[in-house]
Amino acid sequence: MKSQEYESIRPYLLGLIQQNEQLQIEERLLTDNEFYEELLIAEDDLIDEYLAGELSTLDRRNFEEHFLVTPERERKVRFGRALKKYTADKARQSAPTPQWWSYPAAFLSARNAVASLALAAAVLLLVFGVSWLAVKNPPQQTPGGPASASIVTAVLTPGMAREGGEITRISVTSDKDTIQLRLALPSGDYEKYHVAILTSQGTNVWTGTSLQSERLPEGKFIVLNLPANIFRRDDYQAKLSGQLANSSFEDAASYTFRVSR
Amino acid sequence: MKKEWSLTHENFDALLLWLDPNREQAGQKYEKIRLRLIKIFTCRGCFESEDLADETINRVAKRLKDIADEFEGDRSLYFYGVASKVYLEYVRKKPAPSPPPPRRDSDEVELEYRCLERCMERLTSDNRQLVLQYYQEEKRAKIDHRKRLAESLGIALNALRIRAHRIRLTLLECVQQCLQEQQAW
Repeated sequence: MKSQEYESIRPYLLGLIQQNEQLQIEERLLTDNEFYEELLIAEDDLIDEYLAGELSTLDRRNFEEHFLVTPERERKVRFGRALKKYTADKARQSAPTPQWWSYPAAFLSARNAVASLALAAAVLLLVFGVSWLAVKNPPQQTPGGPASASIVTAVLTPGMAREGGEITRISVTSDKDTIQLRLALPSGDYEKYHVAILTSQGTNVWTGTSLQSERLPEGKFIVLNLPANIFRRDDYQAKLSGQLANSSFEDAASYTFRVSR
Repeated sequence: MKKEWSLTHENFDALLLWLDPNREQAGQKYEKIRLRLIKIFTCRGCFESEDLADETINRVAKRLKDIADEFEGDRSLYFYGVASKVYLEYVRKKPAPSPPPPRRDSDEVELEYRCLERCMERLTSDNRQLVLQYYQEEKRAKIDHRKRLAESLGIALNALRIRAHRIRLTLLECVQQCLQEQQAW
């Protein structure tokens, strides 16, 4: 929850304010120490919203074109990104990870032994059935089906497609690898998404349709598992579109990354 | 931005005296006004915000002889009036668009992250925990989480915001210093 001051400061930071309001804010900035600190806090809050993809399309554009004008603010955004990653990493490290063997053990210790045994038998039957199907129908390379030596994961955030912005680097060692791209979703919820991945020359190397978001501890993402052999050493752009009610698509976000081999 | 008049030592002393008869207090007021002017020019979208703030200060110092005895009220507001004129001139000159930020590779990103790790370790345990707790969650979950955090600390939500911000500022300065030290090697 932000302070009440934030509601008047936020449009000022985004350059969306009338002249008379601007005058009042700026005079207060010069004379009121607490108000000045509120503005500094509001800058941090706005940066965090931007990094979390919570800004509307218009606000994001104003943020990039009006707010991010000085090296000092660029530094603050870079720092904010590092802080976001750090706190997310620490949260992941401290979250207890349930071990796979604890589930049946916990279940079988339940009072109803007959129900437990029946369910255990059903699970075994299911595992056998899935295995038989897997042997009969080898898995294809799909966005939901990794089938390679190792998985290289990269989290991509929108809003850094500007020329000169920093770029996430993905290192590929084998064509058998799977590259898992986690596209952090901007604000605005769509039922389905479309993703196109283009080379630096604009050539399409992969397209995904009817994709749905996944909720991970860090937020909502589109998760793509892609074979490494579609990527050469190059800069790539992933274009995300959201499906509207009339089944058309609108641009939602853009992400850049660099593949090295 | 082209500067047509430079601030001499004498002019600077006169300016400080005008701000406050106590030189130390005057120095603090000068720094405060300068930082606030830089912030205002930045918020107006000016890439050369430091130069514009210095030009504003130069002009005030230049006019001091004419206004020193007559001006009454908060001195910083006089600076604001001059700053508004400096800004209008700046806009009329149609300055070149700000250059794009330099591209950073993953090594620099990694270096900044490592600096942050070091700086986090330098915080007190309480401050470190506050930062980790405060910056968890996003959107609606973040709001509820921070309310609970404030309650657990026995402080108002706004006090928590201010405390987190000040720790963040400490971390930012620490990281900047760390990066300068690392890049000097």
